[in-house]
Amino acid sequence: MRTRTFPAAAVALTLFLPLGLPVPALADSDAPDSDPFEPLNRGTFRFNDTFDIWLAEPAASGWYFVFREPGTRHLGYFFSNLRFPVRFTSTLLQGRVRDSAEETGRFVVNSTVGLGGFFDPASGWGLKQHDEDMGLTFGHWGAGAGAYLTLPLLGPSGIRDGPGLVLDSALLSGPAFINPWLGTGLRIADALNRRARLLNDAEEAKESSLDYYVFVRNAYRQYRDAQLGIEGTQPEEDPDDLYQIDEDE
Amino acid sequence: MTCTRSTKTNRRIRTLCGSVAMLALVLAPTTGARADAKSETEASRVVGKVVDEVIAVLSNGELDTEAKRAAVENIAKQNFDFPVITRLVLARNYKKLSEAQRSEFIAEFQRYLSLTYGRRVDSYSNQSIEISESKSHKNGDVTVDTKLIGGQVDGVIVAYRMRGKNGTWRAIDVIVEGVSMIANFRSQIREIVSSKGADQLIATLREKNERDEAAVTP
Repeated sequence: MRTRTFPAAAVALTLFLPLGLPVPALADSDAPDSDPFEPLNRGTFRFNDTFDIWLAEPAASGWYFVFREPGTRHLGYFFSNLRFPVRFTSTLLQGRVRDSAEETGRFVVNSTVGLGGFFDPASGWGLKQHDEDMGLTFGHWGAGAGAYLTLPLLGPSGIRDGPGLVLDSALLSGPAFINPWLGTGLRIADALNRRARLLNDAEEAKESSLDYYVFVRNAYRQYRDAQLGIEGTQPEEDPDDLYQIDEDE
Repeated sequence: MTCTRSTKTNRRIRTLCGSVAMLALVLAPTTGARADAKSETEASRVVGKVVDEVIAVLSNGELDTEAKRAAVENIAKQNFDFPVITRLVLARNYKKLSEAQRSEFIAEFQRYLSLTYGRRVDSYSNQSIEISESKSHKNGDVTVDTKLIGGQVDGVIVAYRMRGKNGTWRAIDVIVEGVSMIANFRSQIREIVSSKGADQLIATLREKNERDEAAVTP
């Protein structure tokens, strides 16, 4: 359910954020299993799952049937190349000028030599991609993850990453200026392609988890923490404590 | 220590203390680093050996799915420290379980792991695995990073947390792209135990295993 770029929903979210969220509930919400909005989140999660089962997954299967492994991979490169403004701005706002220059280099090389971004010669030339976004930029400057949120259609997020998504989405609105249908079409195609690349993994995760909602929540938080270079996702415990057997409790 | 005293008569002691301190300063980090380096080499070697064994099984065209699953399960049994893993995923909830519940949980959990990872043997398609960095932890554990190469998982980093006991290194956690399986499982278990109780945890696991087993055996 990682369909991350869906402008309407993201905008709707920012409208609801100031209205719906009581501030005291956000205190101490960085603990890994803290989830003050769990009942609401679980409701949204069920909605997303139903949406996925009946619409997204079948559509993504069709997409995969058409484009297959090399096709979806190269489409992935293409959409990833289009996300250049997000990576460029985020690395720059984190003060990582070298990395933002590297991103620019990648964009130029892949857009030209890489035939519009469908190929990724830049990686072969040693130009590394930096998967940064605005949520991670807020995190870089000290913002905690905040309460966990499940967003309609967009999936796992949080108080820090939700607004980050809105800004990411704004940074990606270039094509929409050319033609609104082009903007929307690209976003839907990107989401479908991502979902298609995750067909097996998502199914496996769903099958193997005891509580799929908790599986996703925990995996999302660990993943975001790892992206920020935070080791161990148990802030109330020492990272090494995860591996400590309690003998006397 | 007497090293802080500064009378003439104590000069010798001071010099001696000084050299001991110097020696300690020089030696301590190196012996520590040497022990770490030795652990890291050994842990990486074990991960490399296990990875090679698993790939040899998965890429063996003469084995059917069931034979592959059994062979991989066997490799896992030898190289994962299941008693430690069980304790770590249960964490505080371990104390809430009776002796009977514990052994039941261990049995169901092992069955669960072999069913879950057994399903994956057919998804292998000629990927290779590169052993990259390793890192020592304060408690003596070593994390060994591996990088998957090829297919949809190209570039994915899978780390193994290894713990050495009497010279034998076994994996106690698998960390995929920064997501620890132990931490993830622990959080699912915590949720089930706190909302439904320990009995329900074992029941959920058992039902799940039975369903999965029915799906595997035609």
